Amino acid sequence: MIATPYRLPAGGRLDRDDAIGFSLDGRPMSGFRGDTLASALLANGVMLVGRSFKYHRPRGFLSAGIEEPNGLFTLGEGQCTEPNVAGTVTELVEGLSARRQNGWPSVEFDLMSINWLIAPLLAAGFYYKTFMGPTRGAWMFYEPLIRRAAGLGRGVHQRDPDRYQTRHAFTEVLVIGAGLAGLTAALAAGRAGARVVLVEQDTLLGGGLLLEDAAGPAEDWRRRVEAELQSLPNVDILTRTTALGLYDGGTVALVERRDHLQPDSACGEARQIVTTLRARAIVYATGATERPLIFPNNDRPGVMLAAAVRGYLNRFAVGLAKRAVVTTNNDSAYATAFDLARHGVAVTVVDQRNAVRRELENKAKALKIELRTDATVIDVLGTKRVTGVVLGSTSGEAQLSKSDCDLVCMSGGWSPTVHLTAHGGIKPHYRSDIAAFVPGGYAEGQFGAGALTGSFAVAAAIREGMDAGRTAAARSGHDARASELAPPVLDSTGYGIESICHLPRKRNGKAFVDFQNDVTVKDLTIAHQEGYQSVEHLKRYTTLGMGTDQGKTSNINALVIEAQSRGVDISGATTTTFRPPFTPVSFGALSGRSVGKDFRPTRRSPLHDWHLAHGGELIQAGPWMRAWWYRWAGSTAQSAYIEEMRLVRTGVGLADASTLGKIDVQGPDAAEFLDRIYANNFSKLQIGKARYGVMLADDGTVFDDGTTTRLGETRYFMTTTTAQAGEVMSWIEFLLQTAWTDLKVHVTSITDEWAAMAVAGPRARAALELALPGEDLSDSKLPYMGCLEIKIEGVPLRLIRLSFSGELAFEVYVPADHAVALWEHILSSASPLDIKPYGLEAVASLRIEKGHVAGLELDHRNTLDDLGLGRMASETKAYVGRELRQRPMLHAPQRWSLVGIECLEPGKTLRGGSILFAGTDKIEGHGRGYITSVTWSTELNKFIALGLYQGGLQHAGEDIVCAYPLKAEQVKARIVAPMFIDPKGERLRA
Amino acid sequence: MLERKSALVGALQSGGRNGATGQRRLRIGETRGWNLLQVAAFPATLEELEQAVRPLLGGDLPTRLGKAISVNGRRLLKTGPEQFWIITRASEDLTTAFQAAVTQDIGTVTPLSHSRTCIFVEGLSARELLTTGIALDLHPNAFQLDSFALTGLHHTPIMIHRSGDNRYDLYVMRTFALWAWEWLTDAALPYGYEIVLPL
Repeated sequence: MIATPYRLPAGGRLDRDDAIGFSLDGRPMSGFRGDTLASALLANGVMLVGRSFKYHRPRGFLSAGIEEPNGLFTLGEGQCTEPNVAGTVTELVEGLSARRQNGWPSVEFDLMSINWLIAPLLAAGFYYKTFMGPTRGAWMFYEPLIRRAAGLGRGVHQRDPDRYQTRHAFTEVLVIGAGLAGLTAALAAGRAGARVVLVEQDTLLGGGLLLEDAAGPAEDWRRRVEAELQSLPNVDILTRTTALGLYDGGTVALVERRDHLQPDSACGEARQIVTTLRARAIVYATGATERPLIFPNNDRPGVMLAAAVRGYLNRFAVGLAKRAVVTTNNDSAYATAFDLARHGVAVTVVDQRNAVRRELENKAKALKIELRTDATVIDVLGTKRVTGVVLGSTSGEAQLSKSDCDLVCMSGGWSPTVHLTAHGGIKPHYRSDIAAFVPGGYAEGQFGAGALTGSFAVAAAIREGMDAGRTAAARSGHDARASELAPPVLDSTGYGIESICHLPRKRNGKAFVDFQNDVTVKDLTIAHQEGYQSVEHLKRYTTLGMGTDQGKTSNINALVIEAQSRGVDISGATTTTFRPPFTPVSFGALSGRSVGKDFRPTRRSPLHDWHLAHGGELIQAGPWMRAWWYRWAGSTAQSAYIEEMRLVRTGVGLADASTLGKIDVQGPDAAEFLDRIYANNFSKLQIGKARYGVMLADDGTVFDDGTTTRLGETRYFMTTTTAQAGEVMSWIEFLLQTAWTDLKVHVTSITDEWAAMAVAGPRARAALELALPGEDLSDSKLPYMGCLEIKIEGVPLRLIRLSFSGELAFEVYVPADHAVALWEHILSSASPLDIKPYGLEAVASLRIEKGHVAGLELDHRNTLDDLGLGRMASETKAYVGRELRQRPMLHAPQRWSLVGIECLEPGKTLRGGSILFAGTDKIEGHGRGYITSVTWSTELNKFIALGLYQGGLQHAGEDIVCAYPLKAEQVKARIVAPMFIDPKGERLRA
Repeated sequence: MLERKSALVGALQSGGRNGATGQRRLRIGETRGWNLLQVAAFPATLEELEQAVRPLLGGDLPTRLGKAISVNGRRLLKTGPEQFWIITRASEDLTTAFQAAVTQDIGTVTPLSHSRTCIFVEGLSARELLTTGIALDLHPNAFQLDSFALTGLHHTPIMIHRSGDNRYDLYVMRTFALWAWEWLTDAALPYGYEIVLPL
């Protein structure tokens, strides 16, 4: 309510009945609803908003929009701290806390600004040329200091408590930008009945119309069009929403900000929402961005873009000065001069051109504006605030003169905001008539309108918007007759740009090209002299355009300077590559709800809840949660798995095997199909029998293994490893759909359909007989590697007698919903035999004792022969990998192949990944192999392992050393056969 | 003795939540009591398959992908060029009958009743909720009544079926069911939801 020093008593697009309290560096201030942080600060007389990146020069706002390079703030406190947010696009909300950045102890009095003394050492590419001595390692001394001094704001390491959401959307017409052209396009498409989404990054619709007087024809037009758009049910208007990037297929990423709604994360409300929007047609109406002029000390607080000053005046009712200099190379800045003069500001126009349109001259005269042509600013006076300018002539002849002022408005012309149109790789091209880059083209179904295309005049913007909107709507079959839309009656100032970039004569003082990264004309000159002449090199060597503003006010000027240095015409120049995001976007918003444990989906066995409720400790294995060990067996993983192993070796245990990949294979060509994908034979497998199979990849290495059972003439039940189930499924689908389209066979994933449990141990049969009384489970009815299908109360059970552990074992499959009931039934029926559950750790360890290879050995580098499975390969049939497995390099005698390893030093541990050396080797380099899997053996009472060793079992009986350099350990061991227990398989066949 | 237990048994007991405005604008629950049979012909045998199953269904298999049809109380979906899903009441198990009628030279029959869990979402905000995870145009004119799609929910395969004006059935993989439920109820927080217990 209190009028602050720079707030005009009336005018602006503000709600003066809604005062908003906020703070700057802890100091309470106030503004109005409708303010940005920038406009509120300016209204409160805050001109100094930060210190620059390298030189710590005092800086003020340059602009009023997303192109702002200087006015970056740290918003929020504690966990909600967010650095480097542009105040010009931060909506003022109640309680906003803002802090200025990069000044110590304060931005007003910044000790770091003394580094202007060593400024010559901080020129472009300095870290490649300085801080290199006196000693060789000296750089690593300076580097952390340089890093600490770099950057603007500081982030925090606390967890963000707010909520973010991602979502999908579809539409027929997407209009990006709600200025004159965008509003018109949305209206045209909306009237035609198309589904329209109109996105605008600002809080209000209107774009350039918001620079005009808040009470006048522009505002009337704006409100009328907005009202009509809101009345159309097929039009969705998204304000506070930025289009971040254009992707293939008409896909655009949007980020919507909702801080103004004060979202409550406890109720699931998100503060930012990222939408992947797919549009049949897109209209780009993204407007244009004003360029600064380049002259010494053009970075002083109070030197601003001309249109921005007009915006602060007309939209936010902020009067910034008593005396203003407006310097320009084109007509558009005159609108600012005229509006300032109408508000009683003493204005001097410093026009770089020789002559000015009669109309503008007359108007200036009428408003008592001092007009100087062939004039240019050659220096700015004042440090923390502009106090005056030094003027000279563009042609360089005339005397210098001084002019007092407290505001400099500069306009170097306008650059169309082409970024989104270029994201797909279509480079913009230069139009010399407007001295600007415009879109070089559009993808199919995409169109441009208004200032983006170089059409700066009102009538052209409306015409283009209308055409684009209608054509876009027609792409979805909506008939769009030309509809009536009278343009707003605005003062037109024309353009008349000359000489896009007039460089200052030699004069002391830094002339900035890129404000955010402190890149001066001198830096560009140095870079050019050092040979960095391509625009890509120039960018990266000087860091121009690499800040949060991504060069929105510097790229084009730099291109012109570069072209001038090289003596070439700018029309042949190309811009650097435009990439998403258009403006900074937080990782939080992109992640949405995929954070923490929700980063990826969790896959659970049908027995998951049972494990949790009965002392099962679960472990993440890929996407799965698996029972790792149980508390009945011990209090730590290390002790429990040993007890569980003992249980299986001496009694009977029950393990959840439901995660195994299971595939239904059916059809007349099922047998032929399996013969082609497995290295061994399956077409001759008897019905009711199972067989271990190994699949090779195209290159002859082992891809996956599993057990496949023949259920009928043309029906098989295939299993894969847990880890590769998806890969195997994709692979065989790929083969059937591309290579073997003639085969009549269907494959269906049934991993979820069937639960699986292993009953294993010397008492396994006895246990199952207690659970399934009346079923004949004898060795003759269900032999080793046999399959039995039965029904219990109508529920199908499939028993396959195979063993991963090396003990007598049965795998029991049941449809998933019955899993818990069956599991509990087995446990309770067989409880007289002390049956208990055992987990993944024990499963993995038991199979090591048995010498079974598993995931750690199947690492896609090993062959069948490497793993001791060479004899499995069929000699008679064709199968995937057959040819390339014959490559000589895959049969080289010194290949690393599978061995067993026994620890010879009691009290020491073997470790997975240990590097193996012969007993006499020097312990250095890559050694002769490594350990793949390790376990404590309850049978042998020592640590054992599987591994790969050069020359393999030729070295059986030899002593080796297992080295683990990470812990500086060396353990003596011996090479043995990989099957540590029951080599004759008597337990299996019991 | 071998009773069935759904993957969502625990989750369904957790109770609904009020949304940001204090209301509960969605109803979420599990649909049980159905059987799912996948039936597929080979490219050259589609007609024979259709003829073989016609007497069992008392009607024709659908010819269009993407639209479910109801025939004699069963829902029929064409899920691929020669592939169909037949959803029946739990009391009816057509597996044996189909296996007899569809000989292996004509096609294949695969029971999948346990491989999926069916979660339904109902309410005026159902579409808005689903767009947070499903990349489909669910606009009522684009995804009309009885439309279905085989699509993805954060890299897990699902089948979504619009079974009512504002009701969607999601058939998710059983091993992902609890995860899908947690995702759904989390996305539903701002709207508020009621959990509908199965009958």
